Amino acid sequence: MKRIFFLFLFTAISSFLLIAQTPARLTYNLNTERVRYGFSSLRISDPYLSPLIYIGGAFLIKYDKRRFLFRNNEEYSRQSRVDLLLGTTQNPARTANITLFALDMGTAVHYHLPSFYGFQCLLGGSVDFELYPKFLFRNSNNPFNLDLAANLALSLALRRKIQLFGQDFSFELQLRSPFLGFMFVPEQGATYYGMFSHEDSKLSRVFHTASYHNTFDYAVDFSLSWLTGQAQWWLGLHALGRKHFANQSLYVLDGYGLTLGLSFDTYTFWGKRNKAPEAFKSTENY
Amino acid sequence: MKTLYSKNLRIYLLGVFSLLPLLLTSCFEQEPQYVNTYQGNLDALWRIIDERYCYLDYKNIDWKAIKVDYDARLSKVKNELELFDLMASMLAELKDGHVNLISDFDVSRYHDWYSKYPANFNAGIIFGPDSKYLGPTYRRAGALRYGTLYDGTVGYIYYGDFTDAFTDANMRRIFDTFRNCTSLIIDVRNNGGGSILYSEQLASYFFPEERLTGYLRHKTGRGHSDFSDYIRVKTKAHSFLRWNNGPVALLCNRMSYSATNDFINRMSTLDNVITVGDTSGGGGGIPLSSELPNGWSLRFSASPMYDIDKRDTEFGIEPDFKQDMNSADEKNDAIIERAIIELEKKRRGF
Repeated sequence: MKRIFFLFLFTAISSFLLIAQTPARLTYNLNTERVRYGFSSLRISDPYLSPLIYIGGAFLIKYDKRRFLFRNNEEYSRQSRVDLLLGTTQNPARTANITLFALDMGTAVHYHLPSFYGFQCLLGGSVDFELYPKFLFRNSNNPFNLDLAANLALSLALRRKIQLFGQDFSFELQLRSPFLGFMFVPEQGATYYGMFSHEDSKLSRVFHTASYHNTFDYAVDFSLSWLTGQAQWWLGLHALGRKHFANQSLYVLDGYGLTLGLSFDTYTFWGKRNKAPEAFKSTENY
Repeated sequence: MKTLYSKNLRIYLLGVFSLLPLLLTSCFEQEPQYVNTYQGNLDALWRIIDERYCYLDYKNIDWKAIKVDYDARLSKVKNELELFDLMASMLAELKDGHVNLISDFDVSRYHDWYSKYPANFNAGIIFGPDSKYLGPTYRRAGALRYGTLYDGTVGYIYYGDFTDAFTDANMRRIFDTFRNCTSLIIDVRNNGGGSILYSEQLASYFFPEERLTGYLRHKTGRGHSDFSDYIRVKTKAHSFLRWNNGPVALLCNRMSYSATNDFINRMSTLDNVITVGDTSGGGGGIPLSSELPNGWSLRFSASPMYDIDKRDTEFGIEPDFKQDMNSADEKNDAIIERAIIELEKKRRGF
């Protein structure tokens, strides 16, 4: 009986506090979630695996989510993103393949600058993590290489809304380029056995500080979007470029592709009493 | 309004200037790309070996002179097969069993490291129907063939390929079978190598604690002598399995190569281990792969391994007891017989 009483008291107080904290009219920050699928060309130069340039294609999935950071402020937004890329490339003689599985994820914070000649500009920075394992299975003791990097990056988005054929369209250019981080680049003659199986292996020669002196990375998305029903469609051009110079070798990975996807606004309501609010606020409109 | 405009302009200019480094940092040194011609492929092959092969200085090879020689011979090449043979011949100058040129119609190989020496192994004498050793009814645990010799007093394990796996469970059953043996023979003759991890694993059953057993280095630059510092290679003791029943003899011949050479090197550091037979084949360089513009794959030694005194193991490891087999004798394995004698001496403390 005592337990039931305390449980009842706890539930009543919690509910009261929850109701007391929720104003009757409150603008809620929506998550604008966007999923895009696409194909991309791929060009890989990885001297640890091969001195040749491999060319092929990749299937990619791009997901991002954006929302305002604060409830009563439309100047700062946060964007989280995950890009997946699965590709295969061939050497010029078509006797070997490099298979690539890439995971590129990050979180960015943008400042929404005031509109300028109709352009909406979001400028900020991001923390990114990149994992690009590449496999060349016919190699003896160097059958794979790992592009591994963690970076701080500059992030820029430019948007402009236009009217075409009576329909509202929106162009968006997103650009991201890391300026400081670290990366994993093995020495040309090193085996993974030599690098990781012994306590006095010098990993300082494998992990490098990355900045503009040895790294040039960019990711650009140019998208056209239009509204159809409840969803917003996105047709985009995608460009990816990665150049790393370390241990006397230049590593290149780049590609250009086409993406198609849609975005939608979501909000998660937790609990029975947390009902959908009357007013929504989306990052797409600021 | 004017103030706001100026402030906005400054912010935009700041944004534009912050992106300027992107335009200034694209000048990195590109890897040279060779054209897919006979000359282009020969040049690419020469350069890969020149920059990445680890034994040019150690073997006193004048690689530039070899290039001049083979450039001259290239003019006589009429087709792909002749090009392959020319390149194979050029690679044979390296005298290295870890160097191969691999096309879709052939694999070049250098085999003088064993073919010019006595075979010193006849599987029929050990596993054949009339064998006085194991005979055809030997047992096999994973990749390890085993049985006992001399009324069950000597355990015998034959491991013929370091690419074939074995497990702790296999080894536990073998040691259990050998529980009444007073010595052990591990035969790694004609074992051309495989995974160095199996070498570590097999050696671990014989180490009482972790010990330094050698060194390795790797190429760090394009120069022939651009090497990393010596990296200590240690062999760990197995966590729960260990041979404690007396001395161990390793049987080696010239075909004991690569990972097998590494296994012999590790085991040679133990006091209760003797090596009997011929000098091992060597193959002390861990190989890496590269390729030519025409798509042929190339394998070459890139990371030299050393013994505990930092001596190179590329040309093999001499045995404690040199013993050749009599090829005319189809009944007796002189290396096994010598091993048993030396094991008995060691067991008795001679």
